[in-house]
Amino acid sequence: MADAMDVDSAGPRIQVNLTSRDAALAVPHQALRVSTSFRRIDLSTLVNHLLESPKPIPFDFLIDGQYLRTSIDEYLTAAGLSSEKPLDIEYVRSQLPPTYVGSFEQDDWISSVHSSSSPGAATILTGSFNGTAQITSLSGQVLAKTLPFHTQSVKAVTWVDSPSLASSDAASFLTAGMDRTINLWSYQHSDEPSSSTVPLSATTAYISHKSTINSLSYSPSTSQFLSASSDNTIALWSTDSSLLPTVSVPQPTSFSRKRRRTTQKLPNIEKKGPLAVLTPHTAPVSQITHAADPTAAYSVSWDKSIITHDLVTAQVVDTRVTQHPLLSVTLLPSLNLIAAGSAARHITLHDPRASSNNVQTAVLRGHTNSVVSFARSPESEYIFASGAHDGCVRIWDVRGVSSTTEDGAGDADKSSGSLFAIKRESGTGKVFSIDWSRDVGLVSVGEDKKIQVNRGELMADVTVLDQTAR
Amino acid sequence: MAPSATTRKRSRADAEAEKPVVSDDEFEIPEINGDDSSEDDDFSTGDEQSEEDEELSSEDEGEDDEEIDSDEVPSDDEALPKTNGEVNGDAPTEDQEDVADEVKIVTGADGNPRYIYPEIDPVYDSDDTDAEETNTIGNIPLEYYENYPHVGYDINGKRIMRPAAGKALDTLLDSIELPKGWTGLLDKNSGAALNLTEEELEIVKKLQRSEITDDGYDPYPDMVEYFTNTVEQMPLSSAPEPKRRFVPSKHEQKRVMKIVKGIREGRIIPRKPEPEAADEPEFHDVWADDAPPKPDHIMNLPAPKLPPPVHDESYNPPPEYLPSEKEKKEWEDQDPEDREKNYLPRSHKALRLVPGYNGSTNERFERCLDLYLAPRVRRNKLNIDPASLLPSLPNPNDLKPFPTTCATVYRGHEGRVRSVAADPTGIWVATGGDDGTIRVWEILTGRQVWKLKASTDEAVDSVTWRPAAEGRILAAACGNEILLVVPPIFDHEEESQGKEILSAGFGYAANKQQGKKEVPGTWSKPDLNLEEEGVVVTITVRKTVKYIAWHRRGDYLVSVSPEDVRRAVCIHRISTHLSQTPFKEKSVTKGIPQRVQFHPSKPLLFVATKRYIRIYDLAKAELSKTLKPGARWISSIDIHPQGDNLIVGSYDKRLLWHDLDLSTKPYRTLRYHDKGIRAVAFHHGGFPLFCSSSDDGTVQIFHGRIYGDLMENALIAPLKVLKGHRVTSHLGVLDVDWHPKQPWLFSAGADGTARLWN
Repeated sequence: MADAMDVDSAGPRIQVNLTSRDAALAVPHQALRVSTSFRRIDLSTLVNHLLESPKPIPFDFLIDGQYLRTSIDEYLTAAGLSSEKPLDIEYVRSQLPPTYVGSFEQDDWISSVHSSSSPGAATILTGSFNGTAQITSLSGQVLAKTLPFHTQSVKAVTWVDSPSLASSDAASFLTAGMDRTINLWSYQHSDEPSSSTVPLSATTAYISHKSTINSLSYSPSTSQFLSASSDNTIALWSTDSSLLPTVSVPQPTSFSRKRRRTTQKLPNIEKKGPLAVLTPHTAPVSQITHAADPTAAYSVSWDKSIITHDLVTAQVVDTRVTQHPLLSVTLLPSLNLIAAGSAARHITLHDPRASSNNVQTAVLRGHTNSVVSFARSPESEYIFASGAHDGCVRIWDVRGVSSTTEDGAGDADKSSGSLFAIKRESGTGKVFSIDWSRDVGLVSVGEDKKIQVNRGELMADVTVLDQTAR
Repeated sequence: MAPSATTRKRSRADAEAEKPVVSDDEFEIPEINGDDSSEDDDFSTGDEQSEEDEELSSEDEGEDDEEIDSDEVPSDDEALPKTNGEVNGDAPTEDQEDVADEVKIVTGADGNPRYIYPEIDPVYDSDDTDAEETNTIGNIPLEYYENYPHVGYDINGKRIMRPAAGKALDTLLDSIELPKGWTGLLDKNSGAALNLTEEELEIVKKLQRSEITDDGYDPYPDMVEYFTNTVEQMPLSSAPEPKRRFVPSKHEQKRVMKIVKGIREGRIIPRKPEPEAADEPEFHDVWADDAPPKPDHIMNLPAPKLPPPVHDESYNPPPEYLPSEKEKKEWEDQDPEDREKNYLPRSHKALRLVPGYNGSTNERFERCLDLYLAPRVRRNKLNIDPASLLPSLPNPNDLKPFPTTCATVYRGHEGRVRSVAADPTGIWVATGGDDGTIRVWEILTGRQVWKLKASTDEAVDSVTWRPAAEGRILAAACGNEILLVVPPIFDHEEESQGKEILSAGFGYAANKQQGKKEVPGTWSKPDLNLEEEGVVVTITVRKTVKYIAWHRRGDYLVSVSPEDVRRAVCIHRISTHLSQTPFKEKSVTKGIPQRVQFHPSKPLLFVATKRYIRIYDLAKAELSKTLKPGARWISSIDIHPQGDNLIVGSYDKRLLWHDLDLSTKPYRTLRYHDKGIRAVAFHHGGFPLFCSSSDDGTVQIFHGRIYGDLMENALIAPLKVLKGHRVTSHLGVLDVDWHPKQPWLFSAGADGTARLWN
């Protein structure tokens, strides 16, 4: 073929069109004829050759929404395609398998994690079931610990101001838990943690919920945060205390006073009420996350619905009812997709826009227990990780999911396997929360009382990668 | 007598030399008889007889008399033989005297001398057998002489006159007075009356008596007893038993030793295997004609030759029946349908040489075709798929959602987890165990959020949440105490609400209780430690409480203490802190109550005893219905949230579904468990699910849909067997409870864990 460039190889050939969504990696559009015995590594070498990049970049290849894990020939056989027709292959940067970096043990189950990704001051904020939150450095040193303002387990933590070396301002973070209060803590980051760290004291308590607070979501642009609780409500708060009404602490009964004798020595702090309370859900709200537009938020609940909230008007924009109780949600902003993890052990992808008439676009199966946490990849908008009660963190690529049909709800054929699965190093134990940041890596916490850190960047060796991928 | 008579007679014979004496006599008599005048004849004979009688009497009177006495007629007869005998009897006497002298030479009729020898007297005294044989008239029937006076001719050609037949008077007399031995017959030879002699009559008489005619035969001789049936005292022989009877036989020993010797030397091989059969076949051609012809022998009977066949259907028809070549060809050329006969006559030497019918396969095939293609009877075959006979159960996939896997394991209890109960809000689950603790867990994470050590020695047998919307109150049965707890895991508002509800009755109860002597339950404040932990009220009853259940409004609590015979069932009212026993006597419930439940909407109380479930109308205070599940020992019951159906679990492995509208008997019996069922539960949150847990360590999930249409029965379908609990000392899953809103199931196992299934 005149316009096709033959790549030197033996065996039958097939014409391929290599495309990429990444403009920086685009190769000139030309038809190539490659051997059908080519595997991912051969194609990766070919693309690197075409790009003439000084340093080889590992690539993965997607054909019709499926990662190429075999030779092209085998793929054609499996898909029942003819080698006569040109094959469109999309190549993407290879997602490196995260390798185990280390674990930092705490003295109780860890319920939540949020890592700060500011360069040079990467810390891991964790909330524990014993009612405290900890800030751990990447080396495993406990930088700070909170006073037991929470009488019960902390269920959610989030950074408000991530600590950074540049700013001298005190960092602050929020914790919330089973004791129905959200506490705001300030934290002065220092590189040299002294052994006699003074426990942090809460500065403000936000009181509205009547049951366990399951999730917090902070939006830096509006300085507002949302809390989702098991009392079926979502509360909207602001870090600006002046905006919030002051509430009085409910008078503890004699009964409870006796029990909380130990907590009495804690200093009195400011107690604030919410800006708004949203009650569209009829079951415990399990997770909430801000939309790309900070005035909107998505919440999932045990009542199986995904609700899009308009935070300005505190109105429900859209309700998507799925088939299973939902436990976690995350937004893939560039793709206009939200991923929801369910108690039925799978992840569903939804298009939250009102124009979309599909309830769900894809089902990701692989977890063997409730999916409770999500973390977006800091590097690729197509990749996210999920943590589940089966003690496993899985990394998924949205591109690896075939586009669903119109009636895609619950179609099992549209499921897809995960890219990687990260087990707990300690063996078993539920993963309660995960977070993924560029500087810290993929952090997961769980029932094994450990913060487990995995990183994908450390390994760039293509050959090893290829073996793992197979 | 004879000699004298003979001498007299011989003298007469001498006188009439050529005439025999007898004939002379007889000759004369017929002459007399020849006269037709019977009187003359009779007279003359009488004369002669008298003459003879005179002669005889003169010579030997005694003998004569004797003869006349005995019989008259024979005397006549005897006269003749006597005369003959006299004639014959002359010779011996003459022989004795001088034989030569006796021979007379007489010139015969031919002129030749004729020697006349004296007659030989055989000296037979009384034997006249020879005389009887004497035939003087030859073998001529007497009838021939009927018209003649004579009956024949003697040797000399003279007439033998008919013997005197007697006179008419004699015959008349004879006919009137039958003489002895009369037969009425005439002697064929002599023409005289044939009478039987005395001996002959005797023989005839014996024959008539069926006796042996021989003289001296004794038919009944005296029996000689050779053998008797009496056992003799002494043996016949007193000889001792010979030695040989009990000494082994030397002869036999000799023979045995001979055999032994033979075996040792190898001459005799015991149990010698039979020689292999020879290669020659065991059969032979019985039809072969190679047998040698048997020699012609009188004992050799050759088989009869078969008659030659006479028709063409025979195996060996006569040659004239056999078709010629032309006929054969013609037959073969014909269409089989047109053939006159469907065979060709063929000749075979023997019947055994007739080949098999070559058309049999074809014919059978044709017959099968007939049967197959033209069946005479239309058979209505039922094409039933066996699967279609099974009740149509919906696919479990269509009945989703239902719990399938274990999502969370609640670990912490030391010892069995006895009871599990999910919080009405669906966030917490409470468990009670053998370690005396009540624990509350967060459902999804499995985190224990609260724990109460209720007792050190008693197990917490039952925990249950108050079903009302406000006021989170947990009731737990521990020993004979019922603890009403507000766990400190709730909002302050809810907590104080619950506490107020529980505490409200304190004053009320104090006033009421004073009057009563015997109360089934004592309400009291717990001690300080427990109160700090959240216990508000404890109710103490008499015996160990095994089960507690709330009324739907949350004001009443019913407890079961099976050990308390009289007050097994107690109803406790929260608002007034009062306990009462609805059944004063044991006889009311008729059995030890196992489980008690309130109807979800009506004022009914379900009391499950070992065998029966009795439904009491609390408003009317009467027994409303008795259900008979047929189980031997009911372990648990649960009432469908709509109230018309009931499931019963029993220790005999059965799960029974009762439709209260249908019957007192179970509507459906489900036997899926391998061991006794411990707990059953309906989902009360809108899902048509129910489950049963068993000592086999499994929980089984069923779909139980109830239709609003009364005509339609409930749909019950097994969905899933949940396995995960270990069986510990023969105990499996002790309690189950459903999540109030989600299709999630909690199970309490004897292995010390509780589990969440979703």
